[in-house]
Amino acid sequence: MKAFKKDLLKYLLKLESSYRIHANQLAAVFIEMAKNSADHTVGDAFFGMDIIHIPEKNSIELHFVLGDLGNGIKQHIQDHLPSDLKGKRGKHWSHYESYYLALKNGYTSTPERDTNKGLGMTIILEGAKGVNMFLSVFDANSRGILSSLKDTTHEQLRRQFITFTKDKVFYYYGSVKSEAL
Amino acid sequence: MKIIAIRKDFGVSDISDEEDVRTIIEKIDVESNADVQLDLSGCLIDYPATSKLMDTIVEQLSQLSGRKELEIITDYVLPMPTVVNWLFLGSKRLDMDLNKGLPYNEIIQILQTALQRSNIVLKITIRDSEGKAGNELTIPDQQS
Repeated sequence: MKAFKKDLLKYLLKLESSYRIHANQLAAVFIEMAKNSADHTVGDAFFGMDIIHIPEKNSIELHFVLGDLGNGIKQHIQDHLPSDLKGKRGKHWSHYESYYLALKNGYTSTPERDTNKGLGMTIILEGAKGVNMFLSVFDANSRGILSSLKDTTHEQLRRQFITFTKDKVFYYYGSVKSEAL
Repeated sequence: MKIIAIRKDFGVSDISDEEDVRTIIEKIDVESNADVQLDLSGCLIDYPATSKLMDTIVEQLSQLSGRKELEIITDYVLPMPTVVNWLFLGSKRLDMDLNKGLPYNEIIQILQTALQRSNIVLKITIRDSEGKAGNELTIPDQQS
């Protein structure tokens, strides 16, 4: 994680010298995604980033994906519910219920870890909005457009998640546009 | 006023890194300045390392007599409650080490009590991309 953080920050700072990107905030969002991934999987995770140059607009588009081979946020939250919620909805527990908890400031599925204070998903969501990032999450069999959430109410979460596959996957996909300085 | 600009003065952009923060802490000295401006623009922050830097400055300021002022400048485009929570999570000096998901008003209350104990006024300024002050918060609130 340390090497990933250093390399990522170094690369984004270099990019910041030529383009209007907010290097530290972008890095913070990506790092929180990686930490979040480490929270819900013990398997491998991957991160990829593409920079597309658009000469006619003198700008770039940064596209990224961060994924892992774990159970995803939905399943992880469901497997680690606090006792008052455990078993309440059984197999009917949905994506929006997991994300409603995950996006609640201070909610952590791993309270036993001292380094985890439940701020990660808030930083991902608000940090992405702050840099005008398009952000989506593919989790289990659904896709949620996180950057389109107006708030984190059940209603908004239900609107932004759609079932799209029978396969189980987990990854974030997003993009940021940026003009040259 | 003592201005401490982390990126400019120490060439460090990552104060979420324990090692980097340890190096800064060894060098930082508010001397006898009761007014300190800590500029974190361009820096990656995260707990628990960032709060250790906060603790060092608050500790040094609390050794001085009279009223002290600490202004923290950041360029994160985030709501103020998130910034406040993120900056101080894990701070032992400001009683934020056990905080997990407290409501914003409770966090402010905890910080206010701890800062009053050391006679420090804390100002947090979020600057926009052009370097202008956008969102500001003062604890304790000077109007009340």
